[in-house]
Amino acid sequence: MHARILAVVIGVVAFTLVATLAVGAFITFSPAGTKSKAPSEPQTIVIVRNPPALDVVWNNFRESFASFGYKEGENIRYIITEVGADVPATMRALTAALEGSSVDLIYTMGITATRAAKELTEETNAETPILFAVVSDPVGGGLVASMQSSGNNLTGVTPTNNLVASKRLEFLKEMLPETKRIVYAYNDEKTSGIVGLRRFAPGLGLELVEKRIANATELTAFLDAFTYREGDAILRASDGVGASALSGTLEIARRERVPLVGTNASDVSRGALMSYGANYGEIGIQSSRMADRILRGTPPSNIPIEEAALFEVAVNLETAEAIGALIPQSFLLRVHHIFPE
Amino acid sequence: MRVRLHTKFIVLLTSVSLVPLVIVSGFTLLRFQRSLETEAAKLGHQVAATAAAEIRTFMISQLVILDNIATIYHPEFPIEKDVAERISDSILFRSENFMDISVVDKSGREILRKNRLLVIRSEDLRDRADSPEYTTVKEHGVYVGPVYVRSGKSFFDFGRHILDSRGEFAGAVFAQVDARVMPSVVERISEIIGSSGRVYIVNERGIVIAHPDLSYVLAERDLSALPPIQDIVSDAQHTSRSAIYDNEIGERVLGSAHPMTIELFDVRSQMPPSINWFVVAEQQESTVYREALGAARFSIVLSLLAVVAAILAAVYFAGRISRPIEALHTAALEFGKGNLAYRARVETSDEIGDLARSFNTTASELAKTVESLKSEEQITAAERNKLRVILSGITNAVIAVDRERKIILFNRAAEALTATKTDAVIGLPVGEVIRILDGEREVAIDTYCPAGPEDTEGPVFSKNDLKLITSHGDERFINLVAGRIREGASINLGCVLTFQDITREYVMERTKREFVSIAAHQLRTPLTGMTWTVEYLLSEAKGKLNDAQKTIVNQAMDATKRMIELVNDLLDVSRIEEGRFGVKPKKQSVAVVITRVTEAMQKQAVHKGVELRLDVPAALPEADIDASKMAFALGNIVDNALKYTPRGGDVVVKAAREGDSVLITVADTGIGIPANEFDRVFTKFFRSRKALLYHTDGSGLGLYVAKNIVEQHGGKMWFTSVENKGTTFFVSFPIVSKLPSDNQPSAPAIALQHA
Repeated sequence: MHARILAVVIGVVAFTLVATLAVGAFITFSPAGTKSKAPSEPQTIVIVRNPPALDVVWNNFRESFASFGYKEGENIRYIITEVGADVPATMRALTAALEGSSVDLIYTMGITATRAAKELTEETNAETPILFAVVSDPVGGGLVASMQSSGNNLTGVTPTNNLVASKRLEFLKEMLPETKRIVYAYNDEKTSGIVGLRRFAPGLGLELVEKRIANATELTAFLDAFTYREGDAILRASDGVGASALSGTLEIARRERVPLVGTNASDVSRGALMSYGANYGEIGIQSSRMADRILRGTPPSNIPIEEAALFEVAVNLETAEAIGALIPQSFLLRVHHIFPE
Repeated sequence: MRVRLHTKFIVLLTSVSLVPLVIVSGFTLLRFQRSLETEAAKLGHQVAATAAAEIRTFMISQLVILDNIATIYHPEFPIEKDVAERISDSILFRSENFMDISVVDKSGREILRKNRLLVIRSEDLRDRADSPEYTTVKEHGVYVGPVYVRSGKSFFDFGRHILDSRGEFAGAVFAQVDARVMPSVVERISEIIGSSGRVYIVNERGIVIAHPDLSYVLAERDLSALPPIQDIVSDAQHTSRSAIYDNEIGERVLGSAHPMTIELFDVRSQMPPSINWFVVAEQQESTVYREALGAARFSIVLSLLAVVAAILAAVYFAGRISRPIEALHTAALEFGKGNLAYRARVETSDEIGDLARSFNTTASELAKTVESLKSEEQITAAERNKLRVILSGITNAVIAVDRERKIILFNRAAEALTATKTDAVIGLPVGEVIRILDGEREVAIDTYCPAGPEDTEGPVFSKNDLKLITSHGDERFINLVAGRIREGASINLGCVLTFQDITREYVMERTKREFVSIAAHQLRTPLTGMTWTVEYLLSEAKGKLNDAQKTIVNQAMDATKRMIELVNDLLDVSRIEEGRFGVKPKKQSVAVVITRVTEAMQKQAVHKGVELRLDVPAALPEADIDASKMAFALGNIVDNALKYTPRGGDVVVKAAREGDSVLITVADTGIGIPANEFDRVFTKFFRSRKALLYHTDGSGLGLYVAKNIVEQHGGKMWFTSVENKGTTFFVSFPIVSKLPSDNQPSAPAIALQHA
């Protein structure tokens, strides 16, 4: 009887002690209020740069990504490669970049790099997530199943150039109402916005002069050889070739005193007269958030494709002056960025 | 399992001090946790209110813009269409949130539409007359549509009526507003509640419409399964709910859901019921309880310190309490082992100290008692041993038997007597070990150790000259005294048999007797010869003797006669002792015998100068006597009286009838017998010291023989004597002899008694 009471007392005391110690240990050593820090295991991201047009995306991505707790050399490692002239070239570059590394994410800028990455992962049957930035109409382009869910290893941010391309024409017409003809050299039928341009240009009183070119050289040659007249303007195609041939295009436009409509503020900063499009820097930031989610283990198919948040009008007054373009004050009121700053 | 008292005390004291502490700490923490939960719920409320306010502000600001556009399209003050469009376009682009603006006329047809991304042509204008936003705006003046997702973006639609100057409905302005503001709002608010928390908004079906993570909105995540959302969505009253649960990303959170109340403009505008959103605020449980954790940590540290302190205190006090008790226990064990000199070393002044002291006192008292008991026991043992020693030491054999006559004690002399060992006879009936014979007759056990009565004390049987036959068949001569003590019955003691082994004395006495008898017979022959020779000389047949010769020869004659007397005495003694000294009583005159003896002594009396007188009455009856023997006896008595009475003294012989007896007294006025020699007067060869001084010759056998003769007659002989005054001998014998004429006396007892 006494032994039983003693046993109970000992039990209670032991339980109390153990419970106290256990709770104490749990409380003392349990992580207190950490909002899911970045994974501590080093992660590797392959970056497919697209310079110089999309470097703003990459730079903003890098900066923003660090704010999530990713420190280069500590828990994040970037393997940086560049987009090639075409998809196969990019795939080769990407293959080289991926070799010998366990890669957690491929971050692509532009359609070429994204296609190359997609094809490469499809070829190698790899599940490596691909996060794209600046790919217009990913659904129409066959990259993803839908905006809400890619259904594969891709996700990303779209600047919806397919939509805004024709809006650029509207802005151009508003800015320079005497514009009559748009010179438009594009790489292929999938170049985003081409459908809208063809559809809306007549309504805006604009004639669309199209030329399909194979590469940047061809594009430059075409623009160089083109006979410009009053009321002409050049619209840069939002495709890889257009991006890579921008320098030459700028040169020709300046020389021929033809207004050049760029895709975004970056083009304008480099000398294009005007642009309307997504803020690419924002896209970099936007995509960094998605990259964080992917590295935390969310499959890309669970991350809806986002549309760029900010669409901005930019104007380069220096260029306007250089080519003798007169921009109405009313138009300047709605401009988001005026260069030179 | 035996647990030490010390351990029990430690456990007890620890638990006594610890359990309340832990309980109090627990309660405190619990209360603290409750208050934290309340705080968290309050915070959730505030967050909801803040979110509602922010979103309301946002909505109102959007509606204000729509109001501005409505102003442009006032039906009674129309402005130029291009200008109106330009202004609208400008408004669209200046407001970052508008994706699309459209103005409808009274009938619901779009008269203007501007889109941020799309080029809108006139053919793209729509008829919105049947749309819910139109009917709502027409009725309520305001429309706020549900949040929806379209191509990677979330939107909601706003509508505001256009009134004419009479206040009549004249059209409406609609806007597709980027709902991205909502995530930004909740993100900002999320930061208010802390980095680990998040705030999001779900619609009436529990689908996320605002979330810091835009993906939730774009994927239209359904979180209606989370407990507070489920509760608040299904509750018609939409009262605030909170719960602790694992959220969709597996975090343990304290979440609360609150209805969002957005009142746009005034109450009279009658909000459409479409705004039925809920703000959910989630905080990681660990964060909510961070303060509690801090407090708990503090409490734990305190508790651990308390544990240590309690254990130390418990160990100390347990020692204080249990050590004395254990000391008492040790003392008790020592006492139990018999070490009563041990003392419990407890020097506290409390009850245990008192207990220990009384313990020690008890122990010392006990020790004393035990000592006294021991000494008593030792005394008893010593007594017993003493008895044994004494018993073994005494030369007489002692056999004690119980009431069934079984041997219970057998001393060493008894061993020697019976030639058996004590161990072999203890418990045996005494009859199996010895047999007692009186002459040739067996003395039965019931005779020498009778069965009753029980309470007698002292000898129950006493007889000398018995024969003892041992179990080996040996013969011993013994005297036996059987005794009994009154308490014997109570200790089952039957009799104590004391045997005096007289075998050796018996043999010696017999040898001596034989020697005397032989010596006397052998002496008588030459003495007889000497008598004849001397008588022959005195007869002068061989020549005349002169006077001198005659005197010498007469002296020789006297000496020879005395020698013959002596030898005769010795022969008498021998006969007496061998039982051959028989008397032959015959009825005859006692007076004649007495007279004859006195006359015979008269000559000697005259010679001695002592007056010998005789006083015998004429009526003295005849008696059964052996005249010669009686004469011999009386002669001896008178002879002694004459011998030891100095010149001038008197010797008076009297005889008288005393009942059935004749009493003869011989009184002298002699030297008397010293009192210390009284009991030896009738023994063989006894010569009083005084008599020796007075009269050198004498065999010392006269009185012995005389007494024997009297006793053979069935009479008694005794004396009274006063030193230097005189002695009187009394002889009494029955007138009629009781003895048979052929009386053969048994072995002489008296002689042996004094041997």
